[in-house]
Amino acid sequence: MADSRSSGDQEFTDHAAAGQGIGRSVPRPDGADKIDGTFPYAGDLFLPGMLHARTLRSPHPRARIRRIDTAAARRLPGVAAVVTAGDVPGRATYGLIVADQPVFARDVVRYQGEPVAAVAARDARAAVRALAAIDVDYEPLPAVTDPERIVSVGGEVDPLHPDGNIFREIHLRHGDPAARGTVQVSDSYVVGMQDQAFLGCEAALVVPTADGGIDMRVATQWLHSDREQIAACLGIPEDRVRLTLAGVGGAFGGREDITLQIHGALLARVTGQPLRIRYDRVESFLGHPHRHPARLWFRHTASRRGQLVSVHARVVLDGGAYASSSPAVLANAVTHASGPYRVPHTVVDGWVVRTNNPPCGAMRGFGVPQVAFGHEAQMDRLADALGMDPVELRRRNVLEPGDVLPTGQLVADPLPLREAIATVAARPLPAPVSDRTPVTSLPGGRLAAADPGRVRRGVGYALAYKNLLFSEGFDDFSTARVRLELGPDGTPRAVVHSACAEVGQGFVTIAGQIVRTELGVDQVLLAPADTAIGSAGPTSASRQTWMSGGAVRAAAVTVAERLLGRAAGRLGLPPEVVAEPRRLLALADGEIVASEAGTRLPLADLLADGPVEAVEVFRHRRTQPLGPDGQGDVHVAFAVAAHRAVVDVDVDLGLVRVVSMALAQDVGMVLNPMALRGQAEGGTAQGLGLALMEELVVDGGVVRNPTFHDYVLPTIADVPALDFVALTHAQPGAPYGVKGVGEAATCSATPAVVAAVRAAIGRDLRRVPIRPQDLVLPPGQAHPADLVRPDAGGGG
Amino acid sequence: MNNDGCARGDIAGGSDGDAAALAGCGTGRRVSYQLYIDGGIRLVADAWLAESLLGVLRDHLGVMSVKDACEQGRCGSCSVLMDGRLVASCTVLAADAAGAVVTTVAGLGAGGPARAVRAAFLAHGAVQCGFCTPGFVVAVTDLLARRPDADEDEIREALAGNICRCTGYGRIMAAIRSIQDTRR
Amino acid sequence: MIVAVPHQATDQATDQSADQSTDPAPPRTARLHRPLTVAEAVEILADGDAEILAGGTDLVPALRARQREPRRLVALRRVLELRSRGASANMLIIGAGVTYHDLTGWSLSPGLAAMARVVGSPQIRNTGTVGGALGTANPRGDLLTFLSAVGTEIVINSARGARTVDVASFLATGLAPTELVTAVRLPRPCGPQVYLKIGSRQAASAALVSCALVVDRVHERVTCAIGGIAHQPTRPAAAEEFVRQGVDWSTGTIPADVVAGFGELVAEAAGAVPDPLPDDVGVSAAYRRHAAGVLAARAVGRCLPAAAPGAIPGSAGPGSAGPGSAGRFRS
Repeated sequence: MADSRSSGDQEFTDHAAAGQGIGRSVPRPDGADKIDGTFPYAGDLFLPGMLHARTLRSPHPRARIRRIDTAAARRLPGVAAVVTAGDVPGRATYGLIVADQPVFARDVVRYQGEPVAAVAARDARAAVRALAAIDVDYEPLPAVTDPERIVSVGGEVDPLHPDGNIFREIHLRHGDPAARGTVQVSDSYVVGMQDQAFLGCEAALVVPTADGGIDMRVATQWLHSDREQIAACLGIPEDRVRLTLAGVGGAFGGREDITLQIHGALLARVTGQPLRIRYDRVESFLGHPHRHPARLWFRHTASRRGQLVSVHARVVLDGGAYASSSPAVLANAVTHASGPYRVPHTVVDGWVVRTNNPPCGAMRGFGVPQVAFGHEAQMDRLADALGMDPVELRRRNVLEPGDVLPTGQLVADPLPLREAIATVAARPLPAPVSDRTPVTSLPGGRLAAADPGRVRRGVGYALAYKNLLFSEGFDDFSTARVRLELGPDGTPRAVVHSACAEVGQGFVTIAGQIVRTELGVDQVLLAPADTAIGSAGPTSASRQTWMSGGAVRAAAVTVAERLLGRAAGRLGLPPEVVAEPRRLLALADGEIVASEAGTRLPLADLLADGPVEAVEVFRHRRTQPLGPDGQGDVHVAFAVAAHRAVVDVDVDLGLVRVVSMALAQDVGMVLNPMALRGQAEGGTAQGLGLALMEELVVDGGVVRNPTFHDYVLPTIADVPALDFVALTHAQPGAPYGVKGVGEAATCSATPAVVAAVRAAIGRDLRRVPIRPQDLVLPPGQAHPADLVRPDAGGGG
Repeated sequence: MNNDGCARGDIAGGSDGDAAALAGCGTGRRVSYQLYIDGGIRLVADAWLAESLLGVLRDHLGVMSVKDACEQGRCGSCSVLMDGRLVASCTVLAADAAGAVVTTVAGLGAGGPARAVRAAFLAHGAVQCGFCTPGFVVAVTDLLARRPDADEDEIREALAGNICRCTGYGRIMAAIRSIQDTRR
Repeated sequence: MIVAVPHQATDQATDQSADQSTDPAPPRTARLHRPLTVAEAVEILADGDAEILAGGTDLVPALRARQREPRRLVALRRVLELRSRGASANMLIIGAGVTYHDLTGWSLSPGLAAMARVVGSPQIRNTGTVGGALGTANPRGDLLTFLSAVGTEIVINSARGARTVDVASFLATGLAPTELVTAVRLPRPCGPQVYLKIGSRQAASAALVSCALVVDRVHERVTCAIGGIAHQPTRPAAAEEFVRQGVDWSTGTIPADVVAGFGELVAEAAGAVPDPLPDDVGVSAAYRRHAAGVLAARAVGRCLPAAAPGAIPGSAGPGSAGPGSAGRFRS
């Protein structure tokens, strides 16, 4: 690419040969240990003599608990403790935004899998046996599983929880609600429940401490939020709850909520012994919140020339039994509902409601993938209705700096939407299917059922934008400490301390790159992430490179200032120079250079007087709360992604193969080309999974497929090579002009794949994941569970 | 075969000098036996009989590089070589692995293809959270040892039993291609 | 601060604390037998209350989850005589301990090899065995569907001797607890064979629907089995007869309308099974019936091309470039 864009092929060949600073493909510092299998994940941790803890969960989606008898379980040999709701000494409930979820169900259970009790025993088998010995007398109640019904009755009838059945509703009004264009398309869409399916199941190691508190090593996305909730439920001060991040085997939003933390902490305190609590895969599926299933309706209108005039939308998210992050997810879904387009008149009504389905919360994209599937399907339909090319329709309507969003917020920063869609449209297309196409490259792949004569190719485009960082006025910050010192070998090194949860995204790599760039030292150590330092905020919302990267950079810059000040003093420079040393001194290549005098002071000499340290807190610009009409300057910034998907479909069998994916993503600036590419590819694969195969099927409140046998994940045979182009436009206010890159691609991948399938078969597709029957059977037969049955549960 | 119905019968059957054959059955449901892991003989003392090789490797022998993501044979995180063949160790009964040669990521060797695979995974960003990585390294090393010139379709088929949730597989493919390119 | 270490120490790792006399949760499984011969194996089974451990792909995870707790396990890994495969003049004999991997390159049965190659993941193919597939008898099992189409005899041994049953009877009546499947016997291919399968992704997938189709040029017949419709593979007898009559056996060709009619009859047969499998997580029952017809028509079309007389047995013939044809997978 000749312009500001950087072609993947040119950009990403640099493997750290020329340095370890910003802009380089520096390999992960924990990579070698992960490859050798010596990197300790939470589930690998072990203490001699530790107890093993397990959780008892409700088999019913909704039931009254008449009685819980734990006596038999307590009497079993090897059982150290059994705890239930009555044993929670502090606040009885927890939650990310609203503390509405009981630590243990007391009188009622509200979803299948809700924790009822937990046990600690001397080994895992004894713990499992003790669970079986707990006698819970349930009176099953009719489960409420249809979110639409909650909306239609206003949430007041049959409250499932004292807080009511509606977590939040937003009625966004922008422009003239009566305005209409001459061309109109409308339809309904359904999004199934996706699971994060991180590979390393939930686990924590907990040790009771002499001060009545606990030490915990845990795989989580947000140590400080966990600490706050644990301390509240234990009824002890937060400073007695010390958390350290254990190795995290993926997260994707699924570790943002508390799962086993409070149970483990409680049992450790009750028994006075160290213990490990962990989930297996089935329990992991039941234990953490999922991506919200959605029911969507849209009406788009446009002028004859293809200018969007209005978007009316209705968004119903099934939040499941407890709030988790539902209120924030709904805000995202509603404010992004019309997509990255200039829409003068917007009406969006959104609800996220309580049902007896599994709780839903954060997953990569956070409300945007659901609406992106809908608004992009609508854009294609509108293009059809107008007889216009779908790429051209998008080009004509994309937002640009200076435009106003449906929230009334002004687009102030670069938003390269037109560039993104044009870039993917210009990428070379893969070769068509021919007689020489190997069977493994046809739909169905290795399974060999496809008939090349019945394969149709489709090309689809999708464009999405995703807010970065926390919205709606949240006071979001990250804390970091950088300390420059002499290592044991007498050479200078930097130690970085942040509570940022490394979940695989590569913050540990970026932090080292930042410190090397700012301080010019080779050796950078990362102290364990823990609660001994202030919060770094969660690893979510595409925020850590920006926020914690910003904090690390700020701390490093302050260290450099102090070091230069020390050098100025050492060199006998006047006080005004000591106060502002950068006027005369610079830090370069591990030395202090006095530019005018030509004097050089090695870092090691300066650090002999002791280390230099700084703690900095980084904040992004303040936003506003969302007003009652859905208006406000609510989002900090946005990232843009455009995908082009090429698929082959066997039109008789409804088999789909994704042949190629091209992605142009707005990344701000590139800090680590290799890590960036990894995020783009991983995000694309998860979007592909939602389009074609991933669904946690919930029937009458009961999860039918909580295993990797039935919850189908994309394999290496399902995900084609990604033709990736990074669009670089520096983001104001962000360190090095970077944008978070984890989420945008997930939002556009799903609708692009669906658009390609639609193009291949010429049939409207209103549901993800697409199932083979949706492509070959008459719609009435294809959608019995979703669009006809009145109480169809969580999207399945 | 003696008639106590106990695994001791194996000793009679295994009189071919098989050092790692089931050494005894104990008096109850716990058994002790030896496994041949990564070139060394490891004693498994007092294990439940119904445990998987994955469970014994992790909980008894402390071989934590073998990962437990699904325990159903569907994700490949626990992949090892058993008598030279790629298997999911969660589908192998540990006590029945006595006598077999079990190779985990640590036993692939410090040189040769395993070294190239390790280096390429690191250099090409094939690792994110890393939970699938040891299993992938075993599978890729096995593939390249058998089929060094495997084409793309063959590579994708051979690795379809190993799920990675982070990378979208792009950097894993890049790492493999770089190894193949270096060889040529 | 926690001093937690990755779990590496060998001795500490062993669960020494549990005193088995007071263990509250002793697993029921108390004996593992590892016979070296079939004779030893059936002698052990004769005592009853034992479960056979074949490849382990189903049983070992079930043991871990305590879904199955047999008192005794009989592991067949070391019974070398079960791991042989061979051929007589007109039969193929495959030991119960043969893995899918062992079959994938078997030139004597390209259809079987093609089937084996689409089973599960490489890890499953390296572990799973013929005997294990019969023991599990998953109604969608790839091997069961294939064996049902080719007309297979199951060889069963027990302390009282050997017996053989055809695969349909085997699936209907099952195995006595004292019995062991030792081998399967199937006719050598006398024409093309294909196995077509629909899964939930491009590889490493269980069959949602599958179709095995076998052409016998010597006896001039076509047999077909559909997996994923009922609790055992479905043999569409009327459809088989229809296609037998429709084929021009002198040239080995088939008219297009016969291909289409065959597919319709198979779909009809799939709709008429007395014990249909219900809708499941991935696909509806209606889809599986529809796909059965499509797969069957494709299968017969690949085996018997419209203009390719004289194809040699085991090959789909020069006119069939269709993917999945048996000939393509010869190696």
